[in-house]
Amino acid sequence: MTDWVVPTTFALFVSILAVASGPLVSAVDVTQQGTPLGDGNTAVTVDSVPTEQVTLEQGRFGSGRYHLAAPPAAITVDRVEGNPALRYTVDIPSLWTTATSRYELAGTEGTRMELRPEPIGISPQRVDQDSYDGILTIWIREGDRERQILLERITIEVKP
Amino acid sequence: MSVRERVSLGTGFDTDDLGIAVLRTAFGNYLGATLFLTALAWFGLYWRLGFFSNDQFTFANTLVGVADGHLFIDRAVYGPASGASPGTYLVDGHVYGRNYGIVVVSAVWLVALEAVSLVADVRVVVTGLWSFTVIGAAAGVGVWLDRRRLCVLTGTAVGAAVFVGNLLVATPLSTYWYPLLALQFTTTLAAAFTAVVLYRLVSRRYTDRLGVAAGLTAVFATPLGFWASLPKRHSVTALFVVCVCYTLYRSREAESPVVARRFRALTYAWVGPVTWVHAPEGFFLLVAITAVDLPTARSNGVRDLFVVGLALSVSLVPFFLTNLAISGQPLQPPRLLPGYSGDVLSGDGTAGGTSTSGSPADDGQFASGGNVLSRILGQFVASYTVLLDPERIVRIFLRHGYTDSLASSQDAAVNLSVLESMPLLGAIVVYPLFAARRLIRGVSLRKPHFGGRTDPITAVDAFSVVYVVLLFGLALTTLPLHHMFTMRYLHPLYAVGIYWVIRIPAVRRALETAGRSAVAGFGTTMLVGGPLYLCAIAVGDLVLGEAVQLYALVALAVAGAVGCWALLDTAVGGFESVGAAVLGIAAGITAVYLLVSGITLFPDTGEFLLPLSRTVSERLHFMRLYGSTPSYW
Repeated sequence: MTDWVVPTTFALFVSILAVASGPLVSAVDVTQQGTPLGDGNTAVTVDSVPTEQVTLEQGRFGSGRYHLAAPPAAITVDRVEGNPALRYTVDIPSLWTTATSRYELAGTEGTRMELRPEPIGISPQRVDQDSYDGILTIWIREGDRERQILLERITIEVKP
Repeated sequence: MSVRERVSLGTGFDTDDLGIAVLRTAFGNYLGATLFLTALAWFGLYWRLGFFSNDQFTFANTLVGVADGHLFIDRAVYGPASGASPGTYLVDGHVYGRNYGIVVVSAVWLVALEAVSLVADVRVVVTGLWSFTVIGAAAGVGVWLDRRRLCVLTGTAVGAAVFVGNLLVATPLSTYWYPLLALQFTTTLAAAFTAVVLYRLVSRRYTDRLGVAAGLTAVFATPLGFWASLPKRHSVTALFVVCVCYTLYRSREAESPVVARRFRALTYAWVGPVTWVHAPEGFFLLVAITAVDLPTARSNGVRDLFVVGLALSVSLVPFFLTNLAISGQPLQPPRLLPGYSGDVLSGDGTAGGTSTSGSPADDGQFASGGNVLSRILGQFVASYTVLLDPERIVRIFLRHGYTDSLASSQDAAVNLSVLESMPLLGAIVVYPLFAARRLIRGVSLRKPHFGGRTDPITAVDAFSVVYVVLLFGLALTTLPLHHMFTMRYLHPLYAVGIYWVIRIPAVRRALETAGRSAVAGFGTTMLVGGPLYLCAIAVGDLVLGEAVQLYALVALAVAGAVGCWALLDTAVGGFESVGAAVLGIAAGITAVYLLVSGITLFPDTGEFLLPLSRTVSERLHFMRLYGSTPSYW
């Protein structure tokens, strides 16, 4: 039975901790909630966005679908208060589709961030042109306010 | 019962006789219990909190209703505000869900969870319980290896370390997830018990070692692990199919007619719960049982048939009562009722549409209305016609890849064929060879006998074949279909497939004589293959479909190797050690896929049962796969 002393001790520890952190006792709080999303404010500088190199590439390994491929856009986060959010979109109106990536900015002050377009899949049944017009945008969300900090018209080449 | 077994059942205290009887019934012996805990520990690693498909909204909303004490849905807590998620039905102004067999059982867990949450932090409780599955599994391994003390201490050290690690990164577990968690608990238990029952079946016929191999295969090397924590009917129906195999075997094997009759009755009793979950699968399970049981039973006297009929009827009572409460017709399951697409719940007042069209892709087999019998017949004819279409058969069974017959909005290449989902099934190519040999020897038509009766294993073989043929009849016409991932409509096939693989003499010989090679193959593949797969995704900048199809190609190659070995060993013999290694590798790559797909490819919301899984998922999250940071998944 001595084998079971250690696991039993552990069981006691877990039970006591579970109750101690439960709503009845609330003696300890072992779980932390993250910062709420989107609240705060920020200042960012857009360093570069891919205007020429955004392409639609067909998936390898027999996966068939096209996806957006592009070198990352780069931004420098100059100042952050709270946890504002950033939205990076590539809209392809004639395919009726938008790739949207979202980023939390908490903890990124003074860093350079790389933004990647969401790798949305587009069926080869729908791709019938060699290139598509696209609109690339970057938005900042600070609480209830959303502001656009960049808008570029781009051409998206379809790579076979 | 020996002290060894008593301790190893994971209680650590002297349990009273009733407790031991319950544990024996559920797990058989300590090995069954160990497999069970191993399964829970493994499934827990990639247990995601999130709605994987939108009919799970229906599931959760129905559970909220059942926990409130009624079968209908009155609050659309999850999914669209109208509550019109797939699988909802409208009867007399009330909205109903389906799969009540799972929902009602889950209501018990939900109530328990809510009770626990009154006194304890649920996140701490679930992570603590997970650590105990590790400790329990380690203790079982200790008994098996005769190194109990070492294993218990190691297990506790690992369990405690992971527990502390979990606490360091823990976030509160929102009450929002409780109903989902309860449903996931039901399906995870079902998947874990599938491994236990397979172990019991195989170890009863062969050896403990083969039984353990079968159980571990179920956990690590089949899509059973993919669907374990995803609340769908599949884990549950697969469980009852292997239960039928087991009790059918026991009923044929038993010396005493009383015991035989008891197990025979139990075989029919599994039909009830399956029907309660999904009526068509239950019905065809019954057809398969009857087709095999009646001709091979040792007697079909009035008394036998009465007991069997009674067991079947009693097992169906919950199904009848549920239907009676919903539609007033005991034989009319929710799937045959008018579909709900309207707006009863969001308060517009007007009773919504009652579309009865029900496309074949409606996550099920039967839509409403019409002559059920002719529909079934039509469905079976259409399904078997698919067998004549090589293109579709290749897509379903061999290589799925990009499939242009799927609609352009649904053709993401995230689905795997049957063989890609379970490369170990490559071994069953030897069955035609067996058939040919038998024909040449001319013994095929003689009924094999077992003390004047049908050999129990022959009955199980026959049942497995008849059941799978019926399953094909039910499902093939809808395939290939989007959102199948592992050809989930054929899910019980994987559980039966393990049995088929173990029945191959070459496989048994390899595992019996070169078990170490199998373990080495499995371990190496896990340790090398996992990081390699992650590197390929990161370095090759893969998107989701590419990552899935890369695995599929590797799985196909390994399945080919398994098939070649099985043929060679059966024809010539003498490749046990190579064979065991190949089987281990095939199991290993599936395990890698289960883990990687669960943690990084399909993380739903990014929220996991274990806080550490969440952290790992966020670290391994490749921008290319999702674009956004994890909080926005």
